[in-house]
Amino acid sequence: MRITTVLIGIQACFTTILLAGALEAQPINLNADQVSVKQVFINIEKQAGVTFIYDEKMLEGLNKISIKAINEPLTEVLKSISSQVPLQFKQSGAVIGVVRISVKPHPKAPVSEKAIPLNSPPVTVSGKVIDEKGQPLAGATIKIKNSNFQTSTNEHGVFRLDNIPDSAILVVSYIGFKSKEVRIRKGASNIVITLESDASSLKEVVVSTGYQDIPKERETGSFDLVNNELVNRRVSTNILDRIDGITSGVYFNGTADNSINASGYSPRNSGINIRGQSTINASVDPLIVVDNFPYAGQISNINPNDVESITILKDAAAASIWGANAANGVIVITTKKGRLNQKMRVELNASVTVGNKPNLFYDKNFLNSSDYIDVETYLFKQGYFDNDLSNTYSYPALSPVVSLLAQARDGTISEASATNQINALRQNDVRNDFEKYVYQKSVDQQYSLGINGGGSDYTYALSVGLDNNRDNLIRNGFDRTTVKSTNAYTPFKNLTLTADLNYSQNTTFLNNAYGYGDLSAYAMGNGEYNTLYPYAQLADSKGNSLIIPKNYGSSYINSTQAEGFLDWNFRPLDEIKNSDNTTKVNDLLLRFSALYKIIPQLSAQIQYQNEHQIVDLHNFQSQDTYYTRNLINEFAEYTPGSPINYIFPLGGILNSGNYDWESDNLRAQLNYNQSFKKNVITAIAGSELRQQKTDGYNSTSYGYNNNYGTAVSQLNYNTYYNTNPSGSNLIPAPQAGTAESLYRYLSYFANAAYTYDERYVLNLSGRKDGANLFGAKTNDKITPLWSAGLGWNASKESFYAVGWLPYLRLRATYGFNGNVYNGTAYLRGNYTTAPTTGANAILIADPPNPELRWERVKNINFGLDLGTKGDRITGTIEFYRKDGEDLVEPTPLATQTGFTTFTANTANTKSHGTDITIQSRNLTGALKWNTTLLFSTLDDKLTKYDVASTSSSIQVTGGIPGIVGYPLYSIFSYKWAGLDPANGNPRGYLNGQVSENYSGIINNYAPANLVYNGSARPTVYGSFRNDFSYKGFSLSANIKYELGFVFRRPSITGNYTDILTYYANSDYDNRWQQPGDELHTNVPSLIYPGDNNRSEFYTYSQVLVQSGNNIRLQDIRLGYDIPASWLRNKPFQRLQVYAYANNIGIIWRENKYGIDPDAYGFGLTHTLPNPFTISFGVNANF
Amino acid sequence: MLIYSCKKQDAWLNAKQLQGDVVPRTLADYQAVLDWNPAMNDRESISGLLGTDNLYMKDADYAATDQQTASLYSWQNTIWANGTSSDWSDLYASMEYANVVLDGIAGMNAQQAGYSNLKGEALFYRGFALYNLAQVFCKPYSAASANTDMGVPVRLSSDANILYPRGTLQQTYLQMISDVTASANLLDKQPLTIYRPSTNAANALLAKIYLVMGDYSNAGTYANKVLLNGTSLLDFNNTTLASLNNYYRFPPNGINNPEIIFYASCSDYAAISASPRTRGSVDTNLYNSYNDNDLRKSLFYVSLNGTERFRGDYAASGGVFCGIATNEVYLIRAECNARQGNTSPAMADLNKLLKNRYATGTFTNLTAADATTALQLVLQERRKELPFTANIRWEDLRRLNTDPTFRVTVTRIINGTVYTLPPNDPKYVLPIPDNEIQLSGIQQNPR
Repeated sequence: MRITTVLIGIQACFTTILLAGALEAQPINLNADQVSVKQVFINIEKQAGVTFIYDEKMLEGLNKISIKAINEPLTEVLKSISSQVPLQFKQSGAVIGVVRISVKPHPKAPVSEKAIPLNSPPVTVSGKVIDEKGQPLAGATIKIKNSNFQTSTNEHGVFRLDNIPDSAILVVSYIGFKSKEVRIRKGASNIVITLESDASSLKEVVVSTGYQDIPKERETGSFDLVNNELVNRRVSTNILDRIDGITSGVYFNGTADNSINASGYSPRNSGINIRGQSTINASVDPLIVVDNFPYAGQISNINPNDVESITILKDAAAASIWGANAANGVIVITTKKGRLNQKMRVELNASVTVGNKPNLFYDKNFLNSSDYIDVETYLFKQGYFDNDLSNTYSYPALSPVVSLLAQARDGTISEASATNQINALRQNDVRNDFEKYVYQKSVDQQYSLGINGGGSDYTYALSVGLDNNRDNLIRNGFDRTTVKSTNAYTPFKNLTLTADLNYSQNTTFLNNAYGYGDLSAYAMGNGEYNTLYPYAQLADSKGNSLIIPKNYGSSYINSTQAEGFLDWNFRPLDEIKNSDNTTKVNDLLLRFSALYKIIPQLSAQIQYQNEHQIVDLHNFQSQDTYYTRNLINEFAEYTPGSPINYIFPLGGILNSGNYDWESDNLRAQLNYNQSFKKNVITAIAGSELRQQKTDGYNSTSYGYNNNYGTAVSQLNYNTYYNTNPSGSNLIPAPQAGTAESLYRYLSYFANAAYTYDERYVLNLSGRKDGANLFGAKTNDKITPLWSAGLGWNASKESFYAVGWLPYLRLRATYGFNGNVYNGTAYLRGNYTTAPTTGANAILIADPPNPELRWERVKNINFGLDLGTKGDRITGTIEFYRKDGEDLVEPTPLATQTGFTTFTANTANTKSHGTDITIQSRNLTGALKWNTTLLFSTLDDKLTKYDVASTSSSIQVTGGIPGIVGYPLYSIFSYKWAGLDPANGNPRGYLNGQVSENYSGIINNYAPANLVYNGSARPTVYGSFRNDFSYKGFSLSANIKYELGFVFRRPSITGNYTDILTYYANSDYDNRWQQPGDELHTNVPSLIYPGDNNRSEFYTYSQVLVQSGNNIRLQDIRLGYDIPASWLRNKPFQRLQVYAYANNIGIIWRENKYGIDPDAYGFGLTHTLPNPFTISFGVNANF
Repeated sequence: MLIYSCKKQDAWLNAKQLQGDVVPRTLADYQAVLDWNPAMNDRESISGLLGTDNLYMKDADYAATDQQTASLYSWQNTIWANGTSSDWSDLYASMEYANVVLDGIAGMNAQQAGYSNLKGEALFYRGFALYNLAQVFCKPYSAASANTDMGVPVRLSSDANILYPRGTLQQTYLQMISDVTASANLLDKQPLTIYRPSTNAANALLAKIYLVMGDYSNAGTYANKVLLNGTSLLDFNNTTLASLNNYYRFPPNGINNPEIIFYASCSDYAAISASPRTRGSVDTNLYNSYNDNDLRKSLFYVSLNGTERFRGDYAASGGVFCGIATNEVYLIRAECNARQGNTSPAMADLNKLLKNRYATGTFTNLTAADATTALQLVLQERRKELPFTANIRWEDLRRLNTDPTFRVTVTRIINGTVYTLPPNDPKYVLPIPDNEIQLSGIQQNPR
């Protein structure tokens, strides 16, 4: 597209104005009342992507104008301006020339731009004007100081001045930027002038609800916009990671589950809570909308580089348009699109992120080898392993220490030899082996190329993204390719068609299931060891993979080998090597829409989206893998003297699955915009159908030959075969399941906003939602939801006279959101095959509850938007209240009913809180310093809970104990009375007396008898971000804080045997061992045989609850914009290099145990903090 | 704008979410509910068995076993881990499913094929659950005190919102007798599989019920009904069905075992089940009481870790058989005859059973001079024949304790400490799980 450079002399006088055709650019929304023309231009430029070219002087003396426009075409708006002030417009591409008509000639004006005003030898100057980011500024004015001689830049930001005086001073100005004076030197050419933005210019924020884009000014609800700069601040593969720590009221609770859920539908868990949680059983996840429709696929399908901005909808008025899906808030992701009359823009982003190996030595749920061996030795002496040692039926696996002790006892080896060998094992630390052989540094590469632009009647955007992630676990990783295309056409007047295509293909490699603490991988299979002993060696000194005992003792395994069985040993490192387990996801999203403008105020729109996600599971376990060898050996028929008969076929096992998710959305909508005098009305109404269908199968092929794709099919799955070493079993029937689910929704919605005189705003929204709830009457399948909001621009009132606070706006909203429930009004079962008889049987799943209702969340929000003079401090303060009503949850039933739980509306919650965002511009000179403070509080409690609590219901760790009057997630504990000085038993209180009657204490579970420790989720949280920039450098550091919560610290249980099963903990060293120890420790003595009540009491006692308060330096980003002068003659318009460091570390934590409250393993789990990562990247625009 | 008629809207929203979802409505659906054998057949109770004199644990085994097993074994006051008991919840689950069926078919045409049998099945399962619950959570039946002793909640409705109180023991027994008697008349004579109850199963259960009630006349009558209706015994010399080469000695899941009338099992306690990891050993006196020609001695037990452990089990799948087989019915009829003074029919039944247990050609008929001797012999063989079947030994200890001739004090020596369970001790009644007490407020058993 050729854009004419427009040179305008102030005397130039156009008498005819050409309004260039139908400028069907972005419809314009304006609500200007007595504002300057310049201000209106800025607004239009922002919205329409056009540039006005004019001289500031030209606007002098013009009256202020008033324009109300709602989705008006640009031409209409320009006409309106022309009608109020003597300006005319000439549009050429994205540039609009501005001409003032009937201007008096300037007394000293030169007759022509080519005139030579001075007598010194003239020179020629050329150069380029750019902004701080290196973007060229088209239409910037270049004026020679103290003269009327001037020109402006072309679309590349380039200007040229011929025959101007030597050593003239250029005054360069541009709307929204500070003007700058530049003294030119003789012969200077190709000078680059960088203008700094003038932040005081009003920024109009447009938010997206997924149904409409609206200026935030005209909304009353709680919206949080993450603009493109913030989206790009962090480096990540997953788009949702980009909003962590930069949006208020959004809490990442650490439960995110990004694993690919292939079969059927289950609620997504992105681990995000927006303003706490107001539901219990229904999905607690916010609704995630991508370009107008809920996204059904994996979030990992989305390339973050395609994202333009993200809007978070937090209260009822903001989210009510999403009705029954909005109770947990809505995250609207808007992708990049082209603009009308926009020159082709090319964006390139490339980054590499390197992450440390996780710090295994952080884990407290670990006992060093020497202590562990002491525990094994103790238990051995108690005869704990006698059963296993003499078991010549199933020959259970034994740990090396137990084997050595047994051999010494049996006299096979000498005591001294056993002791020496055991002492050698004491020196081992398996964590070193894990770091060396199981983990690696992660390397994530991300490349993205995008182009977008548009002509007068079409826009386009096309992008390609490539990701290649190497995981921390060796042989695990993730590859992604995305292609995205978005096009819009205006074939006829009043009709706009858009067609989008998003394609994402990704592969997740899951070859390494042998991470540290992976219970199922390392369980010895004998019931005593559920995790790996700490003195294990995964490889010898040469790196050869070593055997770890599994299922059977080595003597038995050796004897089978002599008989010709397959090697029955388990070598974890070989398993990692031999694994071939991948999950592929193909996601294709197609979207069409047609918008027809019936009359200027009314348009009709139909949108349709189809998303197809195909998940392909492929897990080939060759004959080299333990799983396969084990099955073959188990069923091998051995008769001395004859060859082994393999009942279970030799060869590999192929597990494959194919799941098809299809989601269809159809929406028909009417948009109405009307403004008359001081009134503006915007309204939408429509209806929507949504369907999500999943379909798929999985299959298992035994005896699979990877080369020929053949499998053995004639196996008998109904015959009990004798198995080795003993017993009989059926060959596990191959999986051949199909999964099919269908979720349907039907909605009617309407939403209207009325603005009067830019001062008062009223929002109303109503919606009816239906879902194909199973086992509900049709009437109960539909729920109505509504909201209302009021806004008041106080600072626009004539009486408003707070000089230091020129901007003040108040908002209030009230309304209801909903949540789709998964209960059933009738007894529900599932047809399935009875395991023993093979009968077609019904497995009863849920008892009926005919009184089940939709849950509702009542929302009240008060908002205050403010800006001090010059926008030095701007901010938003919001107070909210969210009341969950009729919350549906699995309610414990007395087991005499035959069920343990049923789904009922049994709970109400009340939460209130504050979300504060304050931005301050501390330094505005060459060194800029901006601070953003996010501060959120959340105070929630259960107000009704019909579920009787039980002794076990309060024993939760970060869960819901269900006590009315306390937070949903709270921690209660048993009051602690110290250790018994005689034996190190933990002591509590029973009826006011110090007691060791643990079952009595546990049964005395009324809240009054317990200690309430606090909320298990932060009640105060947020971040503190500082952004600095100096010349091309920018530095941003984000500090996150979480306060006002507690967590249960893991410890030992007090039972010797539990240390082997999984509850090893470094607290072992502090256990009570002799009288007097109780003075300096709270860790009880170890006992054998164990006492579960004793360990239950200690585990849930007061003494293990710790404050979770912490402050951490989350990340730092350093960017450098290559100076424009260096980019001369290069294709780049802007080139930024950046470095980004993430998970830097905890600055302060209240607990004294060195535990990161975001990463602590309780019981079975071994949670490690996210490793430090550093990224380097480059961002270029052409 | 899309406008949907109400009908279209309903059609759209009436589509099923999950393919397999079903709200049972038809007779076939309800039959399918009862055909889910994991709930209806495989979750019975053996927690009483752990407290009997048929087994003991070495100190090391006792220390190494799980706490619940250890508590049951040594008759602790606190038994159930986490306040829940699968004995309680699983038996009530089967009762609930039976009630679901009974409520569901209540309004249906009773004449249609399969209706009677299905109703009979549901009544049988409810009666069977009540029987098993009463043996663990209630005092032994005594006509004198049954109207004041506590029963278990007798649930007659499937509505989970209704909580039932415990009622009296008399009510519990009357209901199970009424349910099972009715089922005997409704059920098919020949069931499709041993996983479904039949007339024989109902009559055999009635024999069991009357036996624990001390009503030997009725018990004998119902046992007789069963044995006259084409039952057979498994000859332990039949190496196809009873072999030392089979890990569990008998066919897995009772398949082809001609002796089984109704199949049920329990796999809750690995410590005493016939699994390789069993920690319980068979009582030495009991083991030594088997004749060397008695095939039960080799088929039932295995030497492991220096003691004899239970291995031969009719469930033969790692659990404990809890169903009803012909051997038990013979023993009931023999006992009832002996108690009623009919010595020779009692001995005839006993000898018929034992003939199938001894190695071919080694058995000589036992004789008894009088009914008392016959009764002693029958009870002795009953313990040897059914040592690890359901809670039978526990039930026998409970009922025989009322008779000074047969009462037993069970003794354990654990780490040098002697524990005893005297006859008629309150510990013969297990506590109701705390979770149930907390949620329904029913009365706890004294310990």
